[in-house]
Amino acid sequence: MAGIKSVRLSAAAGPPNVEITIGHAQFGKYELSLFDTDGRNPVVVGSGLSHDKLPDNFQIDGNPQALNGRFLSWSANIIPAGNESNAQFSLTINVRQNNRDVAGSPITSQGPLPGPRADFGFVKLEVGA
Amino acid sequence: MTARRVLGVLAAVSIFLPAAAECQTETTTSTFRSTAEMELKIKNAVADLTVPESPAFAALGLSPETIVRPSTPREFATALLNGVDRKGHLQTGVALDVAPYLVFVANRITLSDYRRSRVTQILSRTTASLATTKATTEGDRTVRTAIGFHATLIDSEDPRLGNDQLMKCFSDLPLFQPPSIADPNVLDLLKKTFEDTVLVPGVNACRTRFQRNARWNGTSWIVAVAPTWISPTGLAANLDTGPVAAWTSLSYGFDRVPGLENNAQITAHFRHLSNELVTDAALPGGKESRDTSIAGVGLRAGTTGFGVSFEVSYLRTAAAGRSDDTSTRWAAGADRRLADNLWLNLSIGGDQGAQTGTGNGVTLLTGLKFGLSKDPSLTDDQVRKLIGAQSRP
Repeated sequence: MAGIKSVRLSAAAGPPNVEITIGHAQFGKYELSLFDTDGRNPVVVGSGLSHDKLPDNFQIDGNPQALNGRFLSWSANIIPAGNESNAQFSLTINVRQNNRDVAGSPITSQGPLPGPRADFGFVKLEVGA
Repeated sequence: MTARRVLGVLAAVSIFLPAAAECQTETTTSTFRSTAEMELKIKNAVADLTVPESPAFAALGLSPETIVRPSTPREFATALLNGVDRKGHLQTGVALDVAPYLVFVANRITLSDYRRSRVTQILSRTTASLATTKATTEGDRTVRTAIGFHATLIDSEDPRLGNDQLMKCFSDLPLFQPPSIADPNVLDLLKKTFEDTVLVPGVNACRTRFQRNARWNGTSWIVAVAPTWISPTGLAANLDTGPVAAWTSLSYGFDRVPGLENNAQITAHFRHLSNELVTDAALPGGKESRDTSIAGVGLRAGTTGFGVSFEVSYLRTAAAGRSDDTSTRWAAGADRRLADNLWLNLSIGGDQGAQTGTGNGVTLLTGLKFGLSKDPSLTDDQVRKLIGAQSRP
């Protein structure tokens, strides 16, 4: 899988925290998953909605070293919530350790939202010293 | 002011048939025949109680064909830079309409933030407009520019609020969950198939079942202001203060009042234009600086087959060196649907007050009109203006 974006975690820092922000006040339902190093066997690490009162960030527990080479993915249904003619969307993923964005974070996708959109993306987790 | 009272009465009967030519006759007993011809149509007695969506364009009297609507900071900066050339000359024909808060922070506004914070709602519904225009006289290098702000402080029909059932339905739709990410090309194909066969049909079904249609008679409060500047040389450095226009409309849709909630709306409107320079040969000195205020109240009610409306507005014009001009306009109307595409319309209106510019008399004018038309008096376009349709994060 060439050309895959990656984020760099530190093995010495605490467990990573992943936050997803679906902007432009659009409806969003999402799920965060971890795939193994072969890009298979997804495990859900977080899910939620953009309009509820629950936080949209999730800690990935365990030893950060064990994440090396795995893939963090996000899948979201983004649906226009308003009636504007030129609706836009944005989806931002922040991967943080010790409350700081790690190298390669944030990852943002954005653009026009003429109708419902299934947004899916992933990054490779690389763990250094 | 000693008033010379003149009473003019005009009755006009008109019949409108679908796709047919208008036939109209009119009579008058007034010495103000020419005035009556110009002003005594019922539509002129009906005050415009709406707030312009782009105040800068309204302040300059423009209806631009092409409006730049930047949605990113880069587009916004580019649009602003295009307004002035390198030598400081204001570029004419600029028409920009933007929601500044959204341009700069929309990526961080979640639907949860929006639903919880009234300030976020107001800022998201606030737009700014910028327009420039040049003098029409040949050789005159004067450039006028205006910056307008339009804010919807209250909007009962905001589609992002009060639609929990629709949100719940969206929430129940499945997500795209590929078993593998090993082949990105296959992923794109699977995702597109998911959108076409699951997501879009699911969203459409939710909207059909639970989408709350915006009422034509929503409760809202809109404010707008548009200061203008004038540069006699066309240079940005020579801009001087010009007229300032301000509008506000407060509409109440009888929310949660049985029998009226979907059928009636009362609107209070005020607008003011200050420091307007009016050039007219009939005026002492040929021109004057004038302040104009209009306050109005309107009531509209109706069902799918019957509608009534009443409006009254008060207009005051003040200028240095003469007495204020005041007048009151009123209009009432009713529509009854006789059949599909056939409505019986009845309207009556009047104008009472001094004639602007002369300051030497008071008139009382009334008009009556009835006829048939294929549409009710309150058209879809008017309804759209009434509800504003401003919620646009």
